[in-house]
Amino acid sequence: MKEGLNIKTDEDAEIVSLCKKGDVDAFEALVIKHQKKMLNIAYRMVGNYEDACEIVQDAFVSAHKAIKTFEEKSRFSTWLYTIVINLSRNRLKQIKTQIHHEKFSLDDPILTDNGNIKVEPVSNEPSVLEKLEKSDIRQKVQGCIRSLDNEFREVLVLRDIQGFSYDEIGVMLRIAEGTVKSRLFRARDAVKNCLKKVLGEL
Amino acid sequence: MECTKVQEKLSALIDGILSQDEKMLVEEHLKSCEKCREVLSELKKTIGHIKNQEEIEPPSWLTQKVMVKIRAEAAPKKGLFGKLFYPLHIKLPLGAVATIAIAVTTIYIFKSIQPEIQLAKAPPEEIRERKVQPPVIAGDEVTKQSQMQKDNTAASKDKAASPKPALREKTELSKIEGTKPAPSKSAEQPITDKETETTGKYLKAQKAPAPVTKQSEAPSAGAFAEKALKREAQPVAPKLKVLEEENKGTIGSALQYIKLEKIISEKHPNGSPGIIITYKVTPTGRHKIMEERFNENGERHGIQKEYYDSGQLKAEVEYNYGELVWYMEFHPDGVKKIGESKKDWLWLNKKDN
Repeated sequence: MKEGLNIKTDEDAEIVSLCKKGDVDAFEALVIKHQKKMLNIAYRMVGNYEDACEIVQDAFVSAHKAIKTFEEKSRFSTWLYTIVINLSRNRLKQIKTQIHHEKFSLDDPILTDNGNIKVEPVSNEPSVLEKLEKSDIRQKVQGCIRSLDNEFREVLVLRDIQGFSYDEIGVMLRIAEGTVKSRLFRARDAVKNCLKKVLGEL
Repeated sequence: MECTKVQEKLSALIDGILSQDEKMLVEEHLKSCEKCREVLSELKKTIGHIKNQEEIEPPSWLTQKVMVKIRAEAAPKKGLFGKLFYPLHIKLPLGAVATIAIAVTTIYIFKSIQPEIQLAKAPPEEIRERKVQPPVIAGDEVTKQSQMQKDNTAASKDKAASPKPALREKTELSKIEGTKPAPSKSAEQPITDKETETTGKYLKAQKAPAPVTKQSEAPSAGAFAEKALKREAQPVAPKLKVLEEENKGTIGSALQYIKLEKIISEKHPNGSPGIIITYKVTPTGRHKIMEERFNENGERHGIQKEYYDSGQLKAEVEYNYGELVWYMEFHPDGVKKIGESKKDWLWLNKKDN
């Protein structure tokens, strides 16, 4: 199977071709296989379990609808995760609108002079940092991840939590590898600084 | 290389994507720079913390829910003819009956509204009975057909007798928790059981409009509500009156909406009816019944239920003023409490938004 630059084969190729022919039941195997990873991506992105579950369902439904036009330029799973990321982004936009939060814009990260991202609450709670200090480590880490700007959170989640390669991340987010590198650096740095604040020391 | 530049490259160093030259330069610098070594160490610890985040588990019902949604999406593509034969939408063809019957029913309602207002406390038997017959008779499409047949053969006794006892069995929706798919249709459909799965059913439904004028039956949606209501067997039940009916769109668009009012002996102090029952079928074929009550404070409190095609309760949501109180989803293999967030509730309504 030709994959363009990617020489990896797609484990899902067989099932995908069945689905293209209209076999709805075959799709179930894909649902079972990929749901956990998709859920985790969505969850780390939007921070809410119910939302993440909804996103996963919507992603599968969208994928199934469009499966006939899936061109197999990338792996099926990559395509699937891209859908999840897009839906997560949409959901985050919705949330932003709902809480009238205007401190951040997706295209305009707030950087201080030394390249750090200011940690600002992404919700209308009094202080994210205050809340973080009270919760346990994992919650604190999750909180710091959540406090990132969306585009930085995306690369961090995909790289350090999900383990995708720079190349795969570039495909999923439709950005150049160089952009992945620099965003990742800033994201990690920001989480590092956030953690220092809420944990005291690493 | 200076510290700022080095620190920028630490992330890449960790991931092993620096070129050989760059790597050498960075490592050279690190040998003699404690500050940068510290930054590197902190970065590694940070990544360690992030990687430590546990993976969360998907809920056990996720696969099934996804497949249900996918199949629902897939089905309508068969075309109008396919839609009509799709099991979940068996009741849709009866929308044809409903559309034709609406005119008659509307006239009925208009005629009865005047006397209804005057007879608030004790409506006369006939009016109630007449109103009630339509939903009752449409017990389910098969019941209806046999009723039709009986009608045609002038067995009017049956007609009078069976609705009433059947009606007595209808009660509050709140207690509905049907588990058996086969409804209590036995007594009245000797012949028709076989035909449930065939096209003959649809054709019979088509024939039904002819004798309809006499009885102005409620549309299929009401039929389903009645089927669900039949789950309960209680001796005395409040009567159901059709408040208003609406069939938005034509056959196939399938949003059928019937508001049934349950007349109870005590009305709410503010004068509004005690309970309002709403039934609807969404375009994707989900059956929902909503029962709303007014409590002592005049607050609206509701329970919304969704049913599988078999009549089994699928999900139940309770809310106050639109705020979710709790939400429960039932599966063939057991009950699951899902949660208390409004998002879940919104899910039930999502397709209608």
